[in-house]
Amino acid sequence: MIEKLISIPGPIFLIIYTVYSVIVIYLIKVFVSRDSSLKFEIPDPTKLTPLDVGLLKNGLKGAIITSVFSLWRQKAIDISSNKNRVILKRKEAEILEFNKLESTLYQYLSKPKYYKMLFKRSSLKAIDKVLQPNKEKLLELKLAPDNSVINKHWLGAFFGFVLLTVFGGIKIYYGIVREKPVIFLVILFILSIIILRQLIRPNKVKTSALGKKFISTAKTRFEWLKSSEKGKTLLKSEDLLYGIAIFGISSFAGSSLGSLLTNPILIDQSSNSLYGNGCAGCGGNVHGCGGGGCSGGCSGGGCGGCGGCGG
Amino acid sequence: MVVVVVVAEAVEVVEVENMLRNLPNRITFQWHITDICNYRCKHCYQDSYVDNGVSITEQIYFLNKLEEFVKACRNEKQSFQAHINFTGGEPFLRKDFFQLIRKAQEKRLFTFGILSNGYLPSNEELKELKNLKPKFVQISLEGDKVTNDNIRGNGSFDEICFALKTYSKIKIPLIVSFTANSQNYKQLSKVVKIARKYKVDKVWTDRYLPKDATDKLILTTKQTKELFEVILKEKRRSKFYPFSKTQISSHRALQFLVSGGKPYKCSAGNELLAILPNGDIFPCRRLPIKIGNLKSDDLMSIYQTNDKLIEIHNPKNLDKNCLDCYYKENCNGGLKCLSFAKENDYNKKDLNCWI
Repeated sequence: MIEKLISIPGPIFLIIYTVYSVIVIYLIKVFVSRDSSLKFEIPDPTKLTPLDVGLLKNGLKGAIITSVFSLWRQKAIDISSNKNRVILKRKEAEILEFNKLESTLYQYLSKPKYYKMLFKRSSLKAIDKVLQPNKEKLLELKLAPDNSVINKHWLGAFFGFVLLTVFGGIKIYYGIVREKPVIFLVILFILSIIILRQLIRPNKVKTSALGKKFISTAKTRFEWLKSSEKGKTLLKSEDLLYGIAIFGISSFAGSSLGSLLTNPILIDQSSNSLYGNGCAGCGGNVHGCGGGGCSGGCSGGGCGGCGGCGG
Repeated sequence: MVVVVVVAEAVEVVEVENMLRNLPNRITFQWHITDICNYRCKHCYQDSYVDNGVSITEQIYFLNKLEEFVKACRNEKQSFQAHINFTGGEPFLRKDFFQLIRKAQEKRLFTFGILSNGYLPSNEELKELKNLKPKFVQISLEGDKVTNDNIRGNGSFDEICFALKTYSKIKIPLIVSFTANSQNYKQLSKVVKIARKYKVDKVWTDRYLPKDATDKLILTTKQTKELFEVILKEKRRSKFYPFSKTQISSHRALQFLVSGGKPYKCSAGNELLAILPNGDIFPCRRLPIKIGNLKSDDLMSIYQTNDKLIEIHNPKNLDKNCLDCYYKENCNGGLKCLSFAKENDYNKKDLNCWI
């Protein structure tokens, strides 16, 4: 068997390995995407609050954007910018309509603050604590990944790695032993592993398979908001909060709401830069930061520290 | 006693004012000008096919009444628009139909459409129809040849396709309607395919209404969801037809839940009134509750004060099962005619609603 493998000419093996890798990665992807959550019914998007939807879609970042936008919409805060820094300033408002996170943020903004302060380690930790019941709710509804879903991702990643390594590794090993050129195969092997990792991301599983379906349903349900011509009326509707939670504020820039959202859009832009440098996984899943996802590139440049998500 | 009467009148005045304040932006009259039809479709809501309807003179009298109504509405709301959907039976079977359309167009108050089964008028009449600029001609199609002919009668599929081809050729805007029942609901994709082939502008579908509680053609909730998923699939598929103008509409009760689009509220009695061949007025043809007659009653006073019309849209009458629903205001209980057909109560929650 091994002899047969060794005897395959290099260029042909490269083609075979490419096809093999694609099949393995595809099968692993299918394997991890069919988790146990699919046994459950997708809840109607409106059975969750916009805050829950934001949390599920984009983790803490989604929850923060949805809540800050909601506060702005209720005229409880002002959003402005100074030298490319977004400033949040509290206004006097009754807090009757606020949810727990909005109340917390409203209290926190007793003095004007830069938006990025919300992403400081201590702030994220506090926000994470406030959102604990929401996270539990998402877990209960099987929309967030529970341990079995995460384990399945790890298992998939492991098997994928083994399958790619065994097949490619044997050829590479014997190639080196027999002093054959293996550089292209090594590159292809590394590439396959990277693609597998990017597609499976076992340390950054944000949603279960049911959660993904839920988000897709919610997107379809609220897609009409983007093309609605009733800008001002829409601003008052709860539908818009769902739209913000799912699509983000910037998605409405080109809509009839665009001119009304000039300042809130700054939040979205600012959030993107805060999460832009490899930190996207931070605050991602309901277990918090998930350890490894944030350990690398984000400790320094403006991320505000990802370790704070607690978990 | 006098005080009571005065108070009652005052209440009535307040109600009338409320109604005027809530005047919609537009109204559609679905005018069934005749019961005569060349088809006997299985799902038809007509009991009889023999009444040709009132004479053209009386029809013009009805038209004048609609004109009065629209003018009164425009006094209250300048932007108010009115549209008439002429239908039957089969409207083209009335020889004087074109006389009525011409008269309606002369008023310059209404746009109009025609709901037909595909029965084609003569070539000269088609030319005239084109000049009269209908907003659309709507033709019903129930699936592929076998399914459609099973529902609408042998040979109807070919006649419908020929009609679609003819209207498409002379560039009259076309709509295809599909009534989904438990036997044909999976065929919507085939209908859309045919619609694309004949360059139809829009395809829409709504659920079949049962004739009685034992009617097996009624969709189950599971089938309803599946139907809505097909609508969504076809809407998405439309993106792969960049040169096709065929739009798939999901603007009917509950469809927004799966197929997307703005939440839909039944417009019966508010943005829609149905007029029968004898002048009877219904909130909708599928909600057969007589609220008056154009011969004997003043349309504006019916529209403003009829108890049923007010009741249908009164949120206080909503089924208790809808009270906790996020969409209670924007959906108002779903397909009212279905609740009426099945439960004899249009305020009941749509029996196919799962949320």
